[in-house]
Amino acid sequence: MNSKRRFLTLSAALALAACAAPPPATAPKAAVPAEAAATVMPAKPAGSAVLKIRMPVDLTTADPAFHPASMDTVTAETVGEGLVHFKPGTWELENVLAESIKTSEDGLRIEFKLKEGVKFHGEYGEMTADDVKFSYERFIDPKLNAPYKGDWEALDKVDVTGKYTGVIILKKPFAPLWASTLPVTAGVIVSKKAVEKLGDKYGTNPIGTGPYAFASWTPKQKVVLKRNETYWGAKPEWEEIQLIPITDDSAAEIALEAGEIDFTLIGKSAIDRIGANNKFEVIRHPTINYSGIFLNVQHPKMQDIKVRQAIRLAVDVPSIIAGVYDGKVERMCAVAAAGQLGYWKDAPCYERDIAKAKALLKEAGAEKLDLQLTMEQGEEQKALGEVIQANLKEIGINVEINQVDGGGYYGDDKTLRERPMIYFDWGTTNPDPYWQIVWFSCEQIGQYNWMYWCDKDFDKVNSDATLTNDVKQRDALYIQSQKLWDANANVVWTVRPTNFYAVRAGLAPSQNPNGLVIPASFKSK
Amino acid sequence: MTYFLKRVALAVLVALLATTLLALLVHLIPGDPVKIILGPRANEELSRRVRREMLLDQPITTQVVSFIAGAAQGDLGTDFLSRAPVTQLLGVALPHTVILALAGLGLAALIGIPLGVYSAVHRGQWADSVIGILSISFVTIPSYVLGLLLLLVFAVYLRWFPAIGTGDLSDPLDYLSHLVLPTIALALTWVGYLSRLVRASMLEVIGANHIRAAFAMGLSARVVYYKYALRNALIPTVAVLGVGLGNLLGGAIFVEVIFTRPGLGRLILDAINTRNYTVVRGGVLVAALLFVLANLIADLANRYLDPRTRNVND
Repeated sequence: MNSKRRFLTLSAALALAACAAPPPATAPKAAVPAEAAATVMPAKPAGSAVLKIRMPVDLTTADPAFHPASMDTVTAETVGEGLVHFKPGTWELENVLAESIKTSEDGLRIEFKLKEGVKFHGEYGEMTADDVKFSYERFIDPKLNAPYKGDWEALDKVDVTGKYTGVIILKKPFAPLWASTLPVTAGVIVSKKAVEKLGDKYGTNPIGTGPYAFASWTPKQKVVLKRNETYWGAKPEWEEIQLIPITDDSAAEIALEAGEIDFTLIGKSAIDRIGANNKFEVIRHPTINYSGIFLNVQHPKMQDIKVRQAIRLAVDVPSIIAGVYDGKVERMCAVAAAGQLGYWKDAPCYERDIAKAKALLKEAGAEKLDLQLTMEQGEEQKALGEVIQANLKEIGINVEINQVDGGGYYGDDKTLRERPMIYFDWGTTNPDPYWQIVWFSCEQIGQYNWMYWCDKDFDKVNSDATLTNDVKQRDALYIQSQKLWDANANVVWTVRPTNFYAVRAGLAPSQNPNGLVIPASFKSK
Repeated sequence: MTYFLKRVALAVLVALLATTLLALLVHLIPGDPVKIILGPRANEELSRRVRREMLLDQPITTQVVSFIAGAAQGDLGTDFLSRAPVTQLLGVALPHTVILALAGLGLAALIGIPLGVYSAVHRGQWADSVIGILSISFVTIPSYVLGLLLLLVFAVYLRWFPAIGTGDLSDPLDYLSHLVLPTIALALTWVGYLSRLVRASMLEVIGANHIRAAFAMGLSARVVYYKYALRNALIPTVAVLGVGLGNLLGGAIFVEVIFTRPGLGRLILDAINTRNYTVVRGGVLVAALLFVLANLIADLANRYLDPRTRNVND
């Protein structure tokens, strides 16, 4: 998970951008469109204003096959478009460049028909099915070594059947494709001509068909996107969009108050101050990220499930929420969040029970234990550690808090294996639970399965969930896998990470439910 | 001449040691660097490629020699993520940091030295006390705290100066307006420090025989203080300014983060956050070389200005 740190933190960084409404409570899940849906695009022409959005990191490369961080993702998805995307603010799919798209019953063939007459920016001509073939097949080209190769791992090839038609052929069914590949950056269609012409420079000079064309990048200062005046869809509102990388939250808050940016993620300490100012609006945005304590089931002191159950019963999550997060976040009891496929509505939230926890430790013959809790550095982490330390002290477990920097935190197998408890706070940008659960398979032991837990049944259920496109069946399978996970008591879930954003009054921001900002859909109120 | 050669040789040796340590950086940090850089998206082929590009599949001695040889030829490697040469990234960042550090040092000298002289000349009077209190206050305020205060007052409430960025170099006024607050934030500590240093040096010089002789000859106080005393009092200050330039380059990191300036410090900090070792290594090397260079120049200048430090054999 260092793309768990990267893919997660960076993706958590993806979540760093904006927010409108919290994810819908009921489930508009990423369902596979059986048949083409109507195309919807931003529908409001307008003024000539410049929209300035703070991003937490600078551009690295907006090449969809690489895109390591939030700025890259946002740039790639604003300049470029895919066959489908998530309707802003929801996990509902809608067609973008696809006039129609449908999957075969066995899930192995995805037929698409492109909109005709869609032009790439600049002199790169009309988008055709050849560009689709090039865009997707390059992910699995061994010469490219794309970090996001895994998104298209199931791809066999793309057959071009006409100038605007083609078939995506998969080697095996892979349901998350509809949630974690096609609608996101990995699904963006690049100009074959541009990629071949620009080579390594494509990443910082991306060419797409989107409502905004890439204009310039001043390193560490801004990415400038100009409105595509020949855009095939409705004319977007902003003449220019600037994505401004500001690393520090405090600096971003000041830039907002000074009127130099319109939208930013803010720190928890600034929520009340900025919220009290009528020039701004503060938006609370729960994510689909997840946090808690991993309990290493292979550690000599943790092998008895009763010890792990005792720890789960002793940790006082409501106190953590009140004391560390000032009551501004919610408890989580299973990995999938409300609104996601596989949301386990009745997941058990273990209430604190010291007597029962002590009894379990006694049964396990572990009434006095010394355990280390490894966490990343930071004041919030420290406060969390201290609450957990105090909680476990009450059942006779002495906790030594081991705060380490990122390099040490993502240690090697030997280091990780020796850690009985690790506090984690991981993120994901993809709504499919596959990307939350995949890290905890037997195969991931020594990588990101820090519980060192291997359950073949768990792996099988999760694997089965990728082989069908039946939403109900997948939903049930992911709930089943979370039940297996819960039964092993190797995680103490704590809080659902929540981001807070500030926007200047009069501006309606637009984001995906995971917090990824969608600049082209920002509107003036 | 001997001193000059010795001093330059020492600077080269320090630079060589710094380069060697930086070549070893990746091995001094816990964890597998490739895993940390690539994360869970890493496949075997990609990991092998990055390992090969970073020379991690080579013996450590080869890695060190290769890095030193590359650095000597101006090749600090390629940023794996953006595929840009590190020297290109540094070329964009460095001018902003150097401009900021020089502006900070210039402002500190412009205010700190006169304050120190005035304080020494008015020793024991209320002005001396006020300057003393102010100077100590300046020294104790961290640049990032001052930066935030300046931003709140002058960018948020008064809106006199911009809060973020550097502006456009092709528009000098715009660039200058972006430079004002960061320069003050960076310089103020050194205003206090220089003021105290110059005051102490001046007091020492004022008590010297040649100054008393100058007064006895009927020269005006202004001429004695500013023409004769200050010239001698500034000699230790020159040496300190060399160290100061290095410190200002370091202090610029905080200022660059607070003011969102695209300098060397922010480049290194962002690279640290993303575990981008190649960029960290190149950035720190350039910062270290600048520090060595600033100290070398200060030492040589001090040697030139102060005849007492010269040896007849040199």
